Amino acid sequence: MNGLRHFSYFLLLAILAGSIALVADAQIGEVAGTPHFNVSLGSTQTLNYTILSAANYPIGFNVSQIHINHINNKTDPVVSVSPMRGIIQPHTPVQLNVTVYMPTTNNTPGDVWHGYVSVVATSVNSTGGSLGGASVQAGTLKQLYIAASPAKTNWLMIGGAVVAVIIVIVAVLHFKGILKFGGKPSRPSARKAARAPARKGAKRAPKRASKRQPARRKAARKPASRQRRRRR
Amino acid sequence: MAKRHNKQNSWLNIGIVAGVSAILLSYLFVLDNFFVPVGATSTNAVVANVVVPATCFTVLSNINLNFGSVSPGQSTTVSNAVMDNDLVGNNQANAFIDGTNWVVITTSAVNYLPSNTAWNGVSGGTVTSSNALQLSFANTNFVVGTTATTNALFYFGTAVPSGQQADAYSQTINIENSC
Repeated sequence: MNGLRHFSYFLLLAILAGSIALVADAQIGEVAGTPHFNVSLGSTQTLNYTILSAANYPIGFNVSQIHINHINNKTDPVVSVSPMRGIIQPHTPVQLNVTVYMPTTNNTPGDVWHGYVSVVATSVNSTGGSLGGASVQAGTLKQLYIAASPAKTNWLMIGGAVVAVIIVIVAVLHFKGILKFGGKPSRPSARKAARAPARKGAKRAPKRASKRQPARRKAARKPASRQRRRRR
Repeated sequence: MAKRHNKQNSWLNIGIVAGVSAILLSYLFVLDNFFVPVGATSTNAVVANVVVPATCFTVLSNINLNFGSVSPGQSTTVSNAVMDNDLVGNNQANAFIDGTNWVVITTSAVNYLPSNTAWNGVSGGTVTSSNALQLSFANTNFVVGTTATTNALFYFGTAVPSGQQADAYSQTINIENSC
């Protein structure tokens, strides 16, 4: 009877030891699915990567690797993850933002890269011991699919450029005297041309829609009247 | 002045009427709650929706591998085992593996490459005939299911390069399930 009791204690201890061995690992996991990035050249895209823990205690996590398979003569997309480390509370998912920037240099729409983001659990400090050896870490790996798409049309920039060109054209036309604002001649030569016939007593310059012109005409007439008086 | 006085009065009247109406209305609500007919039953249908995401986990049975004492230029058999399972998850996964460089434990100085460690799905093989560990992740093509019968077993062995100084070295191996 005693032997049976001891055996049952031993069995219980064995089960406990076994369960401790199982929970000694972090039980880190991820939500299934491959994020498909379709990133326009010169722009960025962010998708979520959800990791979780099945442990009933908080576990630490650390983004250990971000890897992109290099393609010859192409510029690799730049992948960043935020946050890079933290704590996963029991049964509380943590969202990691995976952002991909697609460089324009050497890349064309349709280029595809494969890569991954690796997250390891850091709460369990397993060691090989002072004797040496390897420690094995549990982690979760998310494979990435990244495709380059055509650059987005920046209508705001195009609109700005069009407005700038129009302003330059208008300014040039105004400076050359082709386009006038108000009645004032834009160039001194034009003013001279307007005054010259009056001084010589020849034909007047063609009328202009200006408020100042009448005054100028009066000024131009004065010398003429003086000349008449002198003749008399 | 008289007009303004009248206006004030009218606003006052409206305020009083509104206040009294509000009190009566709330009183009616209270009465309605108190005087529920005995024996009356009501049936409400509640539609609950829940989306359970497909997940996979990495649970390892062993996290310490002690290869013992290995002489320079010698190797062990691939026999140290780690079990990788996904019993917690609801979606099968693929197992990936990588390893760090071997470092001196006391100084953490990088010493020799991770490829001196080999992994295999079966035990008893040699290090040279097994898969060399790399710094970047390799897809093991091991399918890790959500039942106890579909776990993955990794067996490890190591070789110590010739001329290696006598010391204690360590390495970190990562086993990661992906779905």
